[in-house]
Amino acid sequence: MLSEKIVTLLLLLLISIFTTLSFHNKSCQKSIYLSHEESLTLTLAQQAIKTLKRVDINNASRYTLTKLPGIGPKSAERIIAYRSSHNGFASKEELLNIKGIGAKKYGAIKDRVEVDVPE
Amino acid sequence: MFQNKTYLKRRPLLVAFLLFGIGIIFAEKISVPFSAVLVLIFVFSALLCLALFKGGTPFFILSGLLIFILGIASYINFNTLPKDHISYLLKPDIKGTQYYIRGRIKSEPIYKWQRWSKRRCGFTFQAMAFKQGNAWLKLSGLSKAEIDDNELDYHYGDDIVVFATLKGPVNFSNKSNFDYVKYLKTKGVHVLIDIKNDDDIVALKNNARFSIRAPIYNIRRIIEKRLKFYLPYPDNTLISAMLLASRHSMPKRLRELFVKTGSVHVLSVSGLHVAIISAIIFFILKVCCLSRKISAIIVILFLAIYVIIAQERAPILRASIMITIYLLSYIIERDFDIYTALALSGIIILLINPMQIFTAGFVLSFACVFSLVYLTPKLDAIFTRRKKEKVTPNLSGHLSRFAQYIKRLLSASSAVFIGVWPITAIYFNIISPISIAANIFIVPLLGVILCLGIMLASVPILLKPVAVTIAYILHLLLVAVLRVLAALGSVPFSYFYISGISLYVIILYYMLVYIVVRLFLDRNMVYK
Repeated sequence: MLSEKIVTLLLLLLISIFTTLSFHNKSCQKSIYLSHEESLTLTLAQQAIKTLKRVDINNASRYTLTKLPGIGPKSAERIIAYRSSHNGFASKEELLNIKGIGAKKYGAIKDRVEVDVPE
Repeated sequence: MFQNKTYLKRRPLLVAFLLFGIGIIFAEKISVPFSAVLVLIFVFSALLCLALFKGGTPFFILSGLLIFILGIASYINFNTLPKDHISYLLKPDIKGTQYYIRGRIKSEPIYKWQRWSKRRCGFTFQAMAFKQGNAWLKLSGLSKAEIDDNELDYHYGDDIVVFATLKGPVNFSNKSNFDYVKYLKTKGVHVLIDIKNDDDIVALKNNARFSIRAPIYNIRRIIEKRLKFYLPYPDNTLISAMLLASRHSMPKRLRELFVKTGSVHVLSVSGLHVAIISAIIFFILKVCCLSRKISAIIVILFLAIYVIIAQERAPILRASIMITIYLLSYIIERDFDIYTALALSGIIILLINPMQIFTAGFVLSFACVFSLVYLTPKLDAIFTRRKKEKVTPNLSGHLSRFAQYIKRLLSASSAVFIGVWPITAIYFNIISPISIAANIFIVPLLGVILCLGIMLASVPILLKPVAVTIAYILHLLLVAVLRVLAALGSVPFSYFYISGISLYVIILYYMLVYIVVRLFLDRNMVYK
């Protein structure tokens, strides 16, 4: 009987200690910066993402345009309509003239679009 | 059941399970600071040490109170997010905020086909770092990631950098009671990550080389491919759901058919599946002339693998732990008590994730087993009142044995319905009395279907004619199941929708069931 009690007590103490330590581990502030090597690898990966998805808004298809964040099929159609009516975009900022693209949406896509001005 | 005063003392784990669960529910309803809980843990631990040499009752009561407090503590601990948690990146912006995030795929990705031949990919994502300004900062926590337009395949353990929009989950605005935010919370997920397409992802490396899960997920993929190859749609999705708990590709109308007829447990790998599969493996090992103890060890190992294949859902974890306890008790030659095994499996699941107590799978699984174990013998006593007669080996003897079998199925199916309907009414807003008939039909067939499914998945590719034959039989069985369920579902009043059922009504109902069982059904047990 005593041995059963001791085992119960030890198990309960073990669970208590584990829960407390886990809570303490979550609550205390740790170093938030990554090492230099790790940061460098991630920056390279991030640049790979940036270069991959630069979309030329003067030549991109409707489907390619929908790959931009916040641009759905309707917005893509509006971009194409604007492009045809104005003989292409002269600069990225012209995207702001399109209905449905505000400053916020433009902020999200400006790094991911480019304008290839026809000569 | 509780007539003996020492009943609870004889099953201390059952009390521990109940108190731990009540502690978790208490913490969900009433906010308690962890410091107060810590003081209580310390005080009760000290008192428990003092009570070691006293009588049994003070120790029993004090340990019960400590378990209740530990329930509260584990809830608070699980829901406390570290300071670098990904959810702190969320801003009160419904459209979400965009970040470069580095992380790891922590689940097997699920692919779903959308309109215009678009494929969507979803997985659990473990955040590890994010970019703020020019610096990369550490990040932690799980999130649910979805790639809207996906062409590439990803795998468990892939380390990736994504450019994604972070959003907080919101509840669907439909009539059901389903709380999506809480559902994600039970999985430790507080954030949704929306990735536009594969261009927004750069894969760094795969870290699952030394993980146990990666090869098991590979096996799962191979089985899924095989089932897809040999069986037509939607049979392959049905058998995938039954065998691997992968319901995502199943047509909605089929899933609804199973829900309406109260047989949806067939589609999510449950205790029944684990028991059937364990029995099949035990039988195979017996044919191989292995000793029973060695077979038991092999079955335990297989169950551990199967739990990972079925993605560690609460019902399969519960069933696997219970069967493991049963087999271990057999190996070390100790008595097996099903209530103790049920309680121990519950405690283990809640220690891993206390939020499981709020999931439909957990509640249904435990209610179902409890009803089966507690009510079935009592109902059996009603249905089979006559004394057991010796079965003669002629036609009438076989018929009487078959009738006994059907009666036993009827009592089991009725017991589950009596115990489980209030829970399905709360979680799914549906009550299906037809489930009694549906389960009498489907439960015996499930064994055959799973057996054929395992055979189909394991027959070597060289034996194609054998596989084709098995697939054909499986197809016929699945068609029969669907036809019968459709017929049962079309019976008037076979199911009805109900909403807003009060918790007090349900508590009253269970008390009433208990009183009826104690007053009337326990007497019938004399006939057995």
